[in-house]
Amino acid sequence: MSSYIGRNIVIEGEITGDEELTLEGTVRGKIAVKAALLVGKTGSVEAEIEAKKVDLYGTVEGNLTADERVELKQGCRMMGNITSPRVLISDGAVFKGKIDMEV
Amino acid sequence: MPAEAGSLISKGITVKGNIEGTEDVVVEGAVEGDVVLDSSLTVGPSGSVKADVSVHTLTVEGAVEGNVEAEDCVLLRANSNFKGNIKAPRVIVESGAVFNGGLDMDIEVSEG
Amino acid sequence: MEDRRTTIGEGTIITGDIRGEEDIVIFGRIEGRIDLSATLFIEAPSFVKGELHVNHAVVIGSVIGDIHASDCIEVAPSGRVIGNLFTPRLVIADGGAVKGNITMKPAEGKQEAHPAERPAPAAFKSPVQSQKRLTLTTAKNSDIVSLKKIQLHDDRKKFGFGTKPESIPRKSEFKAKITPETVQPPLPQETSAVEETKIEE
Repeated sequence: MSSYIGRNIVIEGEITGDEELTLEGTVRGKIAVKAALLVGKTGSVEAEIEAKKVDLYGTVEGNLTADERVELKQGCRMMGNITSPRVLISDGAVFKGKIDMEV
Repeated sequence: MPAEAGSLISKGITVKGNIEGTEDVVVEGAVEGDVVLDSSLTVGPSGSVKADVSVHTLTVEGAVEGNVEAEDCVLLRANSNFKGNIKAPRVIVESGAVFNGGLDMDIEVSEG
Repeated sequence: MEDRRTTIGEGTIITGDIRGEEDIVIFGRIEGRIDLSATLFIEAPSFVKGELHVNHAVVIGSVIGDIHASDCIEVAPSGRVIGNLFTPRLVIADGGAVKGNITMKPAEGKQEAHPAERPAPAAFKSPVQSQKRLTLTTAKNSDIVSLKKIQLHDDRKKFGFGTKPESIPRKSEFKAKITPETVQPPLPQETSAVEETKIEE
């Protein structure tokens, strides 16, 4: 199964889980999922994030820790530190923070 | 409507007092008092019962005001109006029924 | 990304508040307050703990907490609610279980009056009707008549009901079907027969 948060949803709190999570809405708090996280274009996250892998199309303010990889896509905004063995930053992505790839 | 067995308190009748029995009772008039039956009580569309009720099953199409304890099932049909508390293992509320009061059914919700 | 419904999967837990304007389907676990101007589907085996303010709630799983719905609350056969329900419309399917207080506003045009107010005035208005009531209340209109005290066996014979010859009708044998049509206009002695003091022959 997977979870999907639509663009008209705001969650303030903690999201944890072991299945894929797709965010098109707004989350403030903390996200810790043991699977892939996709933050869609309208997704807005103000939170500490822990995930297996992250695909970012939207906005994240907070630190991001991934087990496998992080991909910042064109048009995204990432304000925070990234800790991940692999990081891919596309042309057009906006990023302000530190990257630590030594895991 | 009961066929041979059972009783009917019809539309123009008012009972002020207690009803006890082991047969089905249909109320289309008015009852004020207590109702204790081993069987079923049906309150018809024109019926009104202002009473504490202890029955096997209760079907409400009219109006009931009082506390109800049923051994088996309480059914509130569309257009019924219930005010009071219900304690029963099975309760069915149809769309259109109006219910104001407490509902006490056996529930175990594991927070697991 | 296709247009999907917001879904909290079975393996997802949210601790916190959720607000929104679109339908949410919950299979997982929520602890917190939900404010949704849309429909909230609480599927099985989900577990929701907290206060819910929604348009429409469909409870197929379990809820601990009050549910305030502006439109309707439906409790499915597997639904369980421990909490109070505030809603104009309610449906509880056979098998559904609720423990709490239920507050519903009466619907338009449906009966709302207190039960005692409704039938009594009409029954006593017409003179024809006033005769019918005499089988169960006295002609003097005294207040308390207990059905089990009414010795109807003789009256029933006169009125043509099938009767058993026992002298005292036990509760289980009260088979009389009393309807206005079967009641004869009462003679004075029948009127008094229903008074307690005159029961013995």
